[in-house]
Amino acid sequence: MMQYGLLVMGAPYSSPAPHSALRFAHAVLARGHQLAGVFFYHDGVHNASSLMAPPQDELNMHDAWAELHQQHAVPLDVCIAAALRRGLMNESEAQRHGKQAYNLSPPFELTGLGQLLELQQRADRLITFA
Amino acid sequence: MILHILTKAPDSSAAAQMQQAVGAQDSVLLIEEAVTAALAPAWEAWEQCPSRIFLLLEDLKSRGLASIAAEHQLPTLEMDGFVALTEQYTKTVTWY
Repeated sequence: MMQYGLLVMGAPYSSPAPHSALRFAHAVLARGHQLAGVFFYHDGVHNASSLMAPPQDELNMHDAWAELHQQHAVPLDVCIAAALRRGLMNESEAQRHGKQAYNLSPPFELTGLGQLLELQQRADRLITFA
Repeated sequence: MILHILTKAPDSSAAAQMQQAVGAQDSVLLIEEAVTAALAPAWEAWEQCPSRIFLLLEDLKSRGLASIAAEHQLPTLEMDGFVALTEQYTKTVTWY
């Protein structure tokens, strides 16, 4: 049994990377490994938007990640610098920046790059999807 | 020993960079757009890394290329096999 970490750098609906990462995540768990965490960076932060509303016959990527967290307690960390630039923020950041709305909430957490380094050290394997 | 994961087509700059970096003990996994390599029998990487290039079957299927890959007897892997490859290689590099 090994610890896996995933780094996701592509946005849903414009890059195939999130789909690949999600399917890989389920395969990792199915083989009896543990997922130490998923880190969303660059355009990957768009995966965390709770306001995405794709047609009902398409996968809602936000919900799919949230389900992964609910079923397997996988931490979902989002790079705060990449997120704020792209208009992804939680309630407290929205207040701090004087914005009317927020689109990021648990199980997604805004964190710094240090969290990625920590994941890299904790995991036996870090696989990038970009 | 490194597992190289290529996500872009064989004629991409990502593929060219990967080809320069691949070592004699390394393996290559083609995912996403990279599986269109099934349509490119002249791609130098086939000769560069004989029997060490794998294609992700579900990405071949979603592009309608699974039968072409089978005709050319290209080695394919399910997602489970992708994870198995990462178990064998301590280092992976994704080219995109």
